[in-house]
This record gives sequence, structure tokens and C-alpha cells, in this order.
Amino acid sequence: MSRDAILAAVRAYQGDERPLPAIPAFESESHDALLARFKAALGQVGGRWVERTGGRDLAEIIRSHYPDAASIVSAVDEPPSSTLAIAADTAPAELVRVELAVLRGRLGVAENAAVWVDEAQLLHRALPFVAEHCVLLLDPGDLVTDMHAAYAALAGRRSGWGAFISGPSKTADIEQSLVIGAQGPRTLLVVLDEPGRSLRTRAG
Amino acid sequence: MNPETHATAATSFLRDAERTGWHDQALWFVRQKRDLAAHAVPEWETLRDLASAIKRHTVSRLAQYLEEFERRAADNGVVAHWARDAAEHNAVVLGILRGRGVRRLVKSKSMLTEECRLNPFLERNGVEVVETDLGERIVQLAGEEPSHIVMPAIHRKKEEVAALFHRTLGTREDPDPVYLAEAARRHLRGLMASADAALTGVNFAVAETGAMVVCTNEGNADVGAHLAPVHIASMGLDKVIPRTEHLGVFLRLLARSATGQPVTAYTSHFVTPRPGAELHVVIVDNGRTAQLGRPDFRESLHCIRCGACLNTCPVYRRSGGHSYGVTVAGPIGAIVAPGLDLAAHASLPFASTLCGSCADVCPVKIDIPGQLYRWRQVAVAGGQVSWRKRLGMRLLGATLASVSRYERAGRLVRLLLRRAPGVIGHPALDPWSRSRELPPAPKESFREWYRRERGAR
Repeated sequence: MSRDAILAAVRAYQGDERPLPAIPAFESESHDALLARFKAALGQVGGRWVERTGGRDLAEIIRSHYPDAASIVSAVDEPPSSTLAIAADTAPAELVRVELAVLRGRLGVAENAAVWVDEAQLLHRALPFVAEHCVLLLDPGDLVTDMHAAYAALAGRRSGWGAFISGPSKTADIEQSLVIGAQGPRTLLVVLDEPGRSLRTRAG
Repeated sequence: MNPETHATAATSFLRDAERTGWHDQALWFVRQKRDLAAHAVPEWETLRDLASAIKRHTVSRLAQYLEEFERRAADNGVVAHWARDAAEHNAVVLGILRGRGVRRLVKSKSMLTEECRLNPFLERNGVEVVETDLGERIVQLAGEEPSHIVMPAIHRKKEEVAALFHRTLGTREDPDPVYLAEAARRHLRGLMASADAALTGVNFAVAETGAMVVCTNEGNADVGAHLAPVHIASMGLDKVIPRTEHLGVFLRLLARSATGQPVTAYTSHFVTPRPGAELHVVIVDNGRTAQLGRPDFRESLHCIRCGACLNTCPVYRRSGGHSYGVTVAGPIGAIVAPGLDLAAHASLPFASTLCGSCADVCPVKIDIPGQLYRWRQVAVAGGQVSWRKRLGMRLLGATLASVSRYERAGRLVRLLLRRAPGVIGHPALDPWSRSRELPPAPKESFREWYRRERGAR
């Protein structure tokens, strides 16, 4: 059997065990510094952000950024509500018609503007990728400094699938010219929630 | 003896001097972006040391981590397959596709499947294969191979892409990258929405959880894999890493080294199959255990395929990926390919100045120049080097080993250059002088001058 033959060869050739290093903790930052760095990184990767201050209505924020979006799918417990019903068994032909996906991010990474989304927060795994535009709701209290801190914060969270999303879909495959909007979303908007809001939403 | 060497293959690339300069600059631009990104991370060198040590450990306990990965993946409902070589990999993939009546397979970029020549094999067996990464789709439509592991169509100009899309997709001949990318978007999203199966590569396979991590900027791997009823992930057995926490180290290095981005737009973690869908992983050897068995060259298995060594290499930048004649070109390819077939790829370790820039940018600190040097010795010992080169090296070695012979040779060369210009450096005798002219010969050497002026010695 190939499996056993391969593993036997690996075992015969791999040599003596070499030590596995421990990963040190790198410097952490204040919350204000994290937020500033996250915003700067998001701009660098072609994404946009908006702060949800003074109890501003999410539906209104979305209307002002995407006035023409007709088919909206939201996995968030507040308006705007979905105009298309998406579930795990929705057909691909339906999914690719989604113009705007509204999703909740579990955490954000300051060094690279990556926002973690996983199955617990989605209606369908394809949603963040097939939608023409993507809105991610993020609690600024869920910002961490780097990828080490991100994986530490996600430890113990079991999910069948999850992804870090950093800005909209992009390509530079033609002469190194950056084009935003390759096969996935053309724009990505991060709505920075009022601190603590997501905790209340999750509890409720 | 090898029919086509890197040097002869590069000749056709170098014929167009303007294009060579353009290619050189395009890649140098990426190298500069990498520098900016790397310098913005204060702990960059610590991360490289960690990545190197994690890989060294992983490779030394590879069997254990492969078994752990397989076990976790099975617990997650993933079907694991093993393949000793390219033929077995291709047969496994075809078997999965046949069992589900798949007619169209959409693929995200996978260097492993290029290495296995999967696409032509599937097409011969009646499966339509669609590459969904823009660069990969360009080279697929052009009937070419990728010339770079991260930027497959870096050798093509936008006017050529416009002509290609005009011919194959019916677009207008507009070289605007925005227009061309939009045309590809429409074309590819339609094909992905109606695919019967999706295939992706794997950037990292985590033993601790069975997760498979796939990094893209376009989002094509996710669109394809989340829409199709079957997802096959093909991975070389060198892709496994011990724990989730190690992803933090490698992901901080990968995109910064590859393109100068702080991270790819999408870093997708596939753990369980989507409800109602199938998820397979094919774990492939294809020469990797043989390389593991060569302590001198084992380190090449640490590679995370960022392409930084290609972008910085003065030889790669000025000779193009196709001159290497292998899936993985550039310095890393030149230390991997000889292990697969020394006779076919013996010229690749010589496609280097041994300047060491590749080792300086490598995020996992592979000693590429050291390995290139050692492969040269293997090639010479194995009789894989031309008699001219061997003779030249023997003469040069003998000359440089003796002060008196060195001085006599210097006098002879200076005399010939003055009295019979054209003998030394004749293009027919000396390939080095084909595109270079020697400077006028001085009357005496520095040593002669020094002796005369200072009377020393």
C-alpha cells in the first residue's frame, strides 16, 4: 500500500529528532494603537472602514455605502434583513447572484487587517467570496496585535471552516498591475461596531 | 548528456533585450515590495529563525506528523489518499472524479498538480479542467506552463493577454488590466458556478487539527471549493506543520516574502466537508522522501513556495522561468529538480552566480547557494557536465593553485590580448565573451607594478 510504503520511507530517512522551538510573545499594543494600525493596514489592502458611533443604524450605513444593492444577504441579527434566503443547501446559481453579504467577524488583526469569519457566523461558506461586495461587522474590542495573538484568541473555537479576510479580492497577474475585484468581492467594508455591542448581540 | 541546458534555453528568452529588461524590472519591483514589508516587522529575523527551526523539527518527525494529520482529517470527515508518484496522484484524482461523474473540474493554483502534469492527463480522460487563478488561466489558455510559482504569467505582457483573451474569450483587444481582469472574472465565475468538482493546493496542513490552509488573493480557491459538491486538496507531504500556533509564524512570513503584502486577501482553513459535500486530501510523495534521504539536500523540503528567491535572483530575472524547464523555476527549483532527475536537470545548479541573495530573502532560511554548490559537485562526479567545462575547470584549477603558473598565464594572456586580439575571448572558443567585450589589456600586472615601484617581495 502506498501509504505504508511512504511512511516507511519517511521513517527510514527523517533522521534524528530536532528540537521544536517555543514561540515567544511579541510586543503588544494599547487599544488605540491597535485600532489605528488596523485602519492603516485595511487601507493598504484596499478595504474601507466606518465607525458606528452614536448608535448609528447599520441599515443606514449600508444604504449610504451601497445605495444600489438590491440583493442583500445578512447573517447579522439586525436590519437590513436579507432579500434572498440563503442556506447550506442553496444552489451555486443562486449564490452567485448575491450582491452584498453582511457578516460578523469574530476578531481583527491589527498588523494586516485580517478579519476572522467562520461557519458559526455564516449561512453558507461561499457567501464571503461569491458576494459582489462584503460588509464585515467587527467589535473593536476584538482587535489583536498580530497573527500569533489571533490564533491564541481562536484556540478552542471549533469550526468546520474559517478564514482570515484581508481586504477585497484582488489580482496583480497582468503585468503586476493591481486590480481590485478578481473572482471574489469587489469591495470590503469593515463596520467598527460600538465596543461591547457584539457581546450583547451574541448573548442575546 | 542533457539535450537542453538552462543556458541554451535562456538564449531564446534573451534574444529580445527590451523584454528581458522589462522582466528583470518587474521582478525587482516585487523584491523591493518584499523588502518594505519585511523591514516593517521588527521581529522579522526572529520569525525566520523560528520558521527554519519549526521546519527542521517537522521534517525530523515527519512520519509522526503525517499520521497525526491523517488521523485528525479522518475524524473531521475528510477522506485521505496517498500517492507515491505523479501517476498515482493523477489516478487517485481521476478515480474520485469518475466515481461522481464529474465533467468539469475547477482548479485553484497548485504547483503540485503542475508537477504531476494533472491537467493533460485529465483532459485525455475526458474531464474539462479550468484553472481559476487569473495568471494560471492565462497560461492555460495560451497552452503554456507557469513561468513563476506565485505569478504564473509574469512573462506575458498585457497586450499579449489582450490578444489571447480576444482569441479565446471573444473580448475586445484592450490591454487595460482592469478590463481584462473583469472579463476573466465573468468568464471564471460562470464556470465555477457550474463545476462538478473543485481542486485546490494546500499551503499548510496542520497535524494537530487536520486543517488545510489555502492562501489566495483572488478568492478563487474559496469560490470554487465552496460551490462544488466535491473538493479535492492535493498536497506534497512536505506541507504538514505540527500545530495551529505555527501558522502564526508562517503566515506572517509567506505573503510578505512573496509579494510584499502583510497577508494574502484570503487565508482559508478547511477542516470538515461542507454539509452535503465531500472533502478529499491526496498526500503526495513524488520524490520528496528521496530528497529526505539526502542529508545534504533535505533542507529543500522546508520551502513554503513564496517565490522570494526567484524575484531576487539575477539569473532568474534575466532568463525567465521557462528556461529552467521545470515546474518550480529559480534557485529553489535548481536545488529541487536535480533530486528528481539529475540527468535531465544537471545544468540548473549552474544557473546561478552563487551571490547568495536567495538565502538572504528566504523566509525559512534555506542555504540555497550551499546546496547549489553541492549539486554542482554531484553533477560533475556523475559525469553530467560537458568535457569543455571539465577541461576548463581543470586548467583553471591548476593555474590558480600555483603562483608561478598564475603569473606565467597572466603574462601570456596580456601578450595575446595585445598582439593577437580576437584569439582570447573569441566567441567560438569562449562562450563568456559572446555578449561581452574584454577591456584593453594593461602592459603589466599589479604584482609586476608593485615589485617595480616598491622593490618588495
